[in-house]
Parts: sequence; structure tokens; C-alpha cells
Amino acid sequence: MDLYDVIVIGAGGGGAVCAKELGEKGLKVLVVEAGPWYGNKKWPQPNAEAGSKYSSSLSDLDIHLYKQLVDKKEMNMNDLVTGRYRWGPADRSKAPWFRSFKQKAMIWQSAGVGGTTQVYTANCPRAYPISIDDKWPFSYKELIPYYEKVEDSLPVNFAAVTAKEELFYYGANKLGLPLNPALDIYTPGYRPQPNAILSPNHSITNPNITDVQLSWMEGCTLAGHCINGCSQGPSIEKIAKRSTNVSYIPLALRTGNVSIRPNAFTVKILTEMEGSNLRAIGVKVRDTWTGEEEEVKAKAVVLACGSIETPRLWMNSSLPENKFVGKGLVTHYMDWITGIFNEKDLLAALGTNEIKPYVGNTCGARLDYPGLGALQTAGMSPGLTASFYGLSKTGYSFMQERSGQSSWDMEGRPVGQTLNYLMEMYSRSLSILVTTDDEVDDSNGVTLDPYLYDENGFIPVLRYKATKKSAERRKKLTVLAADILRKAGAKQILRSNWPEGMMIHMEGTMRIGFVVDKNCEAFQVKRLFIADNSVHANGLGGANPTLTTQALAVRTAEKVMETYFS
Amino acid sequence: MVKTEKSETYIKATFHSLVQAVVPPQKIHLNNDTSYIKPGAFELKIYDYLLQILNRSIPEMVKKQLKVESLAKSTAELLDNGAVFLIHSKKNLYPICCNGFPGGGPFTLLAPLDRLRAISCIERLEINKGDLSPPYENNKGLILNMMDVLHQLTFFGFYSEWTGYGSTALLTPESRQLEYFPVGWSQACYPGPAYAYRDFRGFLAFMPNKKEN
Repeated sequence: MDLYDVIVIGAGGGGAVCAKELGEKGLKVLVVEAGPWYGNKKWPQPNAEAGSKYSSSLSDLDIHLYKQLVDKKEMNMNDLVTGRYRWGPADRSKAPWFRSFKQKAMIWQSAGVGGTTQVYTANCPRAYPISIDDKWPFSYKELIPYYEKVEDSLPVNFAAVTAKEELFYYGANKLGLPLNPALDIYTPGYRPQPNAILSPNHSITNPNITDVQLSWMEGCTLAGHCINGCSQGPSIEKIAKRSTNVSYIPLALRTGNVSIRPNAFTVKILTEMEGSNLRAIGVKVRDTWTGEEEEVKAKAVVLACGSIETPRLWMNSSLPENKFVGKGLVTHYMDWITGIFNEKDLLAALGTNEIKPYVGNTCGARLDYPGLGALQTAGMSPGLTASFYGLSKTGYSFMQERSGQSSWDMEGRPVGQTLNYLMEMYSRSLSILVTTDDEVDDSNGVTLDPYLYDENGFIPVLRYKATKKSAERRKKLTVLAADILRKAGAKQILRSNWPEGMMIHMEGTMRIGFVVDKNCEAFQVKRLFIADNSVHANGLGGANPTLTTQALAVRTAEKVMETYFS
Repeated sequence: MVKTEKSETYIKATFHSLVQAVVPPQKIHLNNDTSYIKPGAFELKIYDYLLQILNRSIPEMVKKQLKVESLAKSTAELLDNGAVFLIHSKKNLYPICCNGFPGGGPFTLLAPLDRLRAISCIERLEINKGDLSPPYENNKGLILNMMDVLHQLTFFGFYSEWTGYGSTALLTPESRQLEYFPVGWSQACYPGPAYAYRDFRGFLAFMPNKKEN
């Protein structure tokens, strides 16, 4: 007899939603997560000792422990090799999990309960309708109720305005772009970021409330640590940035039907034949502290390990050959543009002589351009800001010849005095992230290295090369970003020209209609569903992927219930 | 033993010279005809951070399969390869200098600007990729990627809180303590982790079908 009805692999953006929905329907769910759990009393020192095996009670969550661990220091939290939010086992004395790529690349994923939503900036735009209709096996209209449900649960609001958003709106408006504060986006326009960040508490402007007091109240405090780890709030369930570890995971625990096991890397999907069909019957997990392996059975399995590990696990489990497994990776082919402003212009535009990009929601304003992609403001802590300057396809900025016709003053990687200048001007800088509506190309994706392996199986190898059309779209968006900055008053503009391998928004490696059917169940393995970014049929037009994954996860949970448990 | 020490000296000298070129010290002139030196990445020992990260970034199991003895050492040799190409092709702008970083290879003999130019040669893959140690041998993608990584790490080490960890910087993350306000944060006028900021300027719009709370 199965102990669990469903095993969900991965407690990130999609897995946590699926677990909560299935738990609410009365199913017994086990969530297995490869990384640690921050803020649960059963793991008081999550990076130093193994702790317990499972948690299934809301009373295990501890806001004091959470605030102690999530200390907002950028290296301690975000270092890709040793940070709490790295892609690796809980024990930080061990190396991160290895990935292989044959190009300039950076993969930004996080292990742990909450997954990459621990570090995400909580941007929650819906997909652009033109990227769904006639391109997915169902219509945009069919997705809307699921979007609405997730937007209500998280909840999603339009971002509050601080200096950097105001400056972006000022530049966009001066450029003649329209304000379009909608959720269903059909035409170009700028708008506040729809994000899963609680609106500021009314006391934010009350000088009689101290900053510390404010940080224990409900609502965003504009402290700017969306990426470094948001810990503002009176309880874990009320933390301002709605990563799934503080939103859907507590809701899942509330159902009384969900158990979560961190520090358990799934190394194999277990299957058996049922008549002429192969079906999933459970998983084999490996304890990341002890190395012990264990099989756990269930009536259905939901894969939610992300766009790299989901196809990797499929292939390492020797599931049936499918030529589309791992194929079709899209990444929003990103770029990074920074404007530097002088005090006088800022005073005129904002009434203050600084922007202080570390204040407020990290990505509080955006411009949507269906057919091209999107732009969004991005204000990060200085170490992360500087490290992003280190990435460039162009090489050193000082080695580039300047063209008088270029929209920017510099292109490439700054060093020496130029870097020093940019960082001295950090408080008067505004950066814009370009996310391109990149084309699906089956030659991009995830394969297995045929020789290299670690304790979890053969190593994933990534490849992404932008198509000509994707490159053209990115260039147009980059020029538009520079135009907005210039209209806002930027005196110098740096285009980083990020390499193609920037992997922050990874989608499409197990596409709906190719690897999974329209219910997100694998064509070739019954009772095996997928609920992460990998099922996206494309890059949603350049919109951030998490909300769509979460809406689909709600829908997939319904399909799991209808198909096997009604 | 002697060989190991020599190797360590060689690796350190190479990374000393790398971070010095990437984030050099700055001479700042004040209005009263005085000046001071703002420390760069060498003065702040950012090389220690790079070495720590490179040596921890690949699991031992994978290192053995890749036949990587030390990623830091292979990377130092890669930088030397770029330097040798620059010197042989007579593209160095300044004469080589032999007393900057004792125990270092050709990369450390170059003037700071020429070290960056050697890196550019590597980024253009002008070097002989077959001469390199694993994991770089005939691996152009990794060679290119490491050139970005070296800068990302130097910048992140310099402008994050790493310099503030002081005497605990080389301990494991669980054992580090912030002893000083980090130099990079100070240079960027970043106040460090905060509880709240009051720069609330209202809302441009509200979600359709939602009203202000």
C-alpha cells in the first residue's frame, strides 16, 4: 500500500503550489527537496548539521530562526559557491552541484525549500496573450482563472514607487510611451511591476515607528533585500516577499496533508509496466548529509525540479527516449544597461539628488513590448551590481572603439578607473534588465555528459545560442532601454552586452505538446506530471516565468486529481 | 614539499597580479593639494577570495574525473598562456618587469594594462588551447567563461561584505563574523543591510479590480 498519494519533487516555484493544491484536495503528499530549509525549528543549523528528516506542521516554522539565518548580507546569502542560496547541498563545506557548459554562462538557481523563489525578485507578470494563443495547446483565456487564483493567494500587487521606479516612469513618459496598468498585455507600454511583494505598511511614513518595529509589521519595508533574502514581517507566513517558502509552503502545511523532506536529492524516478503502459510508482532519493539512498512509493509523481534538473532526472532515470526531452531551452536572452545621472538632473526629476538603487522592490517598474520582450528596472546591492558588470560578450569596454552613432557611451566589461567610477556613482545609477522574447530552437537545451557524473547521476550539459531573430529583438530592446535612460537624464550609459549563456529565466526543456500532454502528464509515462518552467512551450514573450508556472501548477493539480483520484 | 610550496607561491603571485590589474588602487587628489591612495583589490587581498572560491567550486568526485589537480593552478597557467602569446606577438605596450610578484610566471611580469590585454588575447582564443592543463585543455567554452568569472569574483569580493570579515574571511561561511564595515560598501555609499527605508512615493496604479488597502 502506498504511504503517499503523490510525491512532488522540488519545493520551489511550481512544486510548492502543486503540493498545496493537492493537499487541499485531501491527497497525502510528500515533497522531496534537494536543498536545506531555512526557518524551520527541525533544522536549527541547516547548513551545519543534518537535523530532522521531515516536517509537516506549521508550528515548526520559526520567524526568529528565519530572521537569524536570512541575514541579508550579499556574500553570505548570494555567493554562487558558498552562499546560503546557492545551488548545492545544505553543507556549505561541500562544493556546489556541478553543471557543464561550453560557453560563457552563469546559472542562477537556488536549492532549498522555496527553490529559486528564495532569490527571485517576485515579478509576476502574466504571459503575453500573443505568445500563448495558437502556440500552446490551450488558449490564454483558459489560463486566466488560474492566474487569478495565484494572484489572489500570493498575493500579487503593483509595486510601490520609490526613486528608481519614478525615474524610469519619467523617462518612459518623456519618450512618449504609454502607461498601461493592465494584467493582460496586448500593446507596448510601461506599468508598475505586478509582483508578489506585500504593499508597504501604512506606518512606512510614520517617523514615530522605528525601522526595527516596522520590520516586524506586515508589509514591505522597502529595505531592498529581495535577492539577498527578505525577512521583513511578523511571522513566516507574512514575510513581505512571497517566495514559496513563506507563501505556498505554509499553506500546504496548513492542509495537514503535506509532509516536506529537505536535504533529499531525487536520483531516480521509479516506474513499472501497467498493461502496455509505463507508469511512475515513486522515487529514489539520496540524503545529501549521509549519502543514504531510499525508495519512496506513491500513486503519482510530480516533477518540479526546474528546467535543468527535470530533463536530467528523466534521462538519468532511463525513462523512454523522447527526442524533445531537454530540447528547446529559452532564457530570455538577457542584457544589462546602466545609466549614470548627475545630481542636478535627479533633483529636477525626483526632488532628490540620489536614486539609491538598493531602496525599494528590486524590480519595481517594467515596460512590456509584445513581440520584442520586456524591460525592467533592477536595483541590487553593490557586490551583485559590480559582479554583473563582469559579464560581457564584448570583452573589456576600454578595448572597444566608440561609435558616435551608438545609443550608449560604453559597451563591455568595465575595469580599473571605469569600474571605480561606476561604483562611486552607484547611488546615482539606474540599471535596466532586458528580457527578450527569444525564439525556441531545438538545438538549445540540456543533455547529459556521457562520462562525467556526480553522486546524483550524469552531469547536465547546457547549450544556448540565440537565433538571429532573437538577437535582433534584443538589440531593439537594448536601444529602447538606452533611450528611456537618456530621456530620464542619464549622462553616461553602459551596455554590458551579456553573454548568451545568462541563465536566470530558464524554460521550455520539457515542452507541453512535445514531452507532456496538455494536462502536463508525460506522454510516455503515466502518472508522471511536470510542474515547473520546463513545460512552457516558449518564453511567454519575455514575461518573467514564475507566475505562469504557478498558474499551470494549480491547473496540473486539478488534472492529477481528476485523472487519478476522483 | 618544496614543489608544493613553489606551486603555492606561483599561484598566489599570479592571482595577486590579476586582481591588481582588474581593480587597481586609485590616487585621489584633494582640493588642498594633498592626495591619498584608495586601496584596490590587491591591497584588500581579494585574491584570497578568488582562490578560496576556485578551490571549492568543483566537487572532488568531478575534479578526479576531469583530472584537475588544482583549478587555481590551471587558471594561473591559462593566464600565463595569454601572457606568452602577448609577448611573442610583441603586442605588449610596456616592457616586462621582473620584480613585481616573486615566484610568478609570465603573466605577473607584465604591466597591469598588458595583463588585461593578455586576458583579451585569451578571450579571443588566440592562445594554443592544446597546451593547457585540464579542465581548460581544448575547452574553449570554459576558457571563455573563466575570463568572465575571474572578473565577477574580483568585483564581488571587492564590493560585497567580504573585506569586512577581516580575520575570519578565510574560515567557512558558518564561522565568519563581520568585523569591520566593508570597504567596497563604503566606496559605493551603501549602508549595508537595512530594516526599512522611507522613500515611499505612493503607487502609480493599482491592480485592476483591487482597491488600495
